[in-house]
Amino acid sequence: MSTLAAKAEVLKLARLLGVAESELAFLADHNALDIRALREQMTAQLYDDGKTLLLKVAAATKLTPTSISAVIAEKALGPLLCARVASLVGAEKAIDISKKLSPAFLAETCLHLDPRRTADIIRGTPVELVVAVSKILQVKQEYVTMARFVDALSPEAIKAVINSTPDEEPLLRTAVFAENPALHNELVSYLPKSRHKSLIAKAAVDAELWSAALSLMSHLNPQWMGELGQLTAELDDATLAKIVGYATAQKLWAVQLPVIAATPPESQKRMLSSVAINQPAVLDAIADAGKDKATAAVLKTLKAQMPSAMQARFA
Amino acid sequence: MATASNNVLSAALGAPLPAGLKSLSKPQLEQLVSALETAKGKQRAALEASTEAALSHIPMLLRGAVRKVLFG
Repeated sequence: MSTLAAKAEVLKLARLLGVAESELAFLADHNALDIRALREQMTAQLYDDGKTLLLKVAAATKLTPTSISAVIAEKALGPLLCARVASLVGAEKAIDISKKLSPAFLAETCLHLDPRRTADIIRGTPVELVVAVSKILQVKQEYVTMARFVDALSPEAIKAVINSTPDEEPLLRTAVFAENPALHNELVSYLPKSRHKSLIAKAAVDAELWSAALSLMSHLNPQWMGELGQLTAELDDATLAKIVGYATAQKLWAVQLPVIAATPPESQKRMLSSVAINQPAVLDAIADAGKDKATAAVLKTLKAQMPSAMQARFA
Repeated sequence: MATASNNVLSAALGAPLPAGLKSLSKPQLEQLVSALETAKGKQRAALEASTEAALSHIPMLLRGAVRKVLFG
């Protein structure tokens, strides 16, 4: 799971430096938090570099009428410099200017914006503009960029984006990259119950999406983990077999087992009795995951709901 | 593995590297420094070019005041 987070961090760093992701591929084997810390150090360097001139541009912007500032932003400054100047202009002026910019330009600016330095602006941006920008970012499949804004957006704006996104896939791909996993509970709570079911069903058809769904579930509190886990157990046998296949191929049992353990006993039984999970190769993969102490403890809690052959295997 | 004395990236950042990245090789560190310096250079060039271009969009009446703020 950490590989996914590390890859996301490499992508963010590559975006910051304006290089191809492949040029920084050597970083992907490192811890995501270390790569993020490096990105933050480099962000500070880039924000500090040329700050004298950036401050002058910001001061000139304050003198200029908003509509003219918006024209200058789009026609002269461009998205990168707007992103750098935004935090220096003052939230009120920046929000007024943003209302006059095209959503397409704002979406480009979002790729370069540091949400931590512009949280006031992001929170003050009209919800309908946030939704318009999010639609463009979704078309561009800029899920990593969208995820960077989850922390800074208001709950109202996040709910509006969710409600304007009929497909669960972009939501899942965004949520998995959210920098503050503590927000995952809130994000799930914003979805109506019917969409939880669609979320699980959508994730179950693709190995990468299932990995994203498990990453999301791994950060949920026991209640939400149990609810989504139960919906997983309600899937038909063929779909359950796919999930078992993903978990085995991607070595995800250390994450999958706690989700099963969070469900009611009858759901645990359904999952653990499925034909797919009782195949020798799958049991080997689970045993391999069980070498870890925490996973072994989870297996122990599931024992009562295991079929006898499985119980014997994990005795 | 780079040591503290040859850690060019740490010097460029003016701060110690995150602990987990201390195992990066010297060529990898140099690649990161080069990417950072290139990004800074591009940002500087874009900023200088765009400030001049921005003036052409400012009404004549305001242009003098804005020029003064930008270029002293």
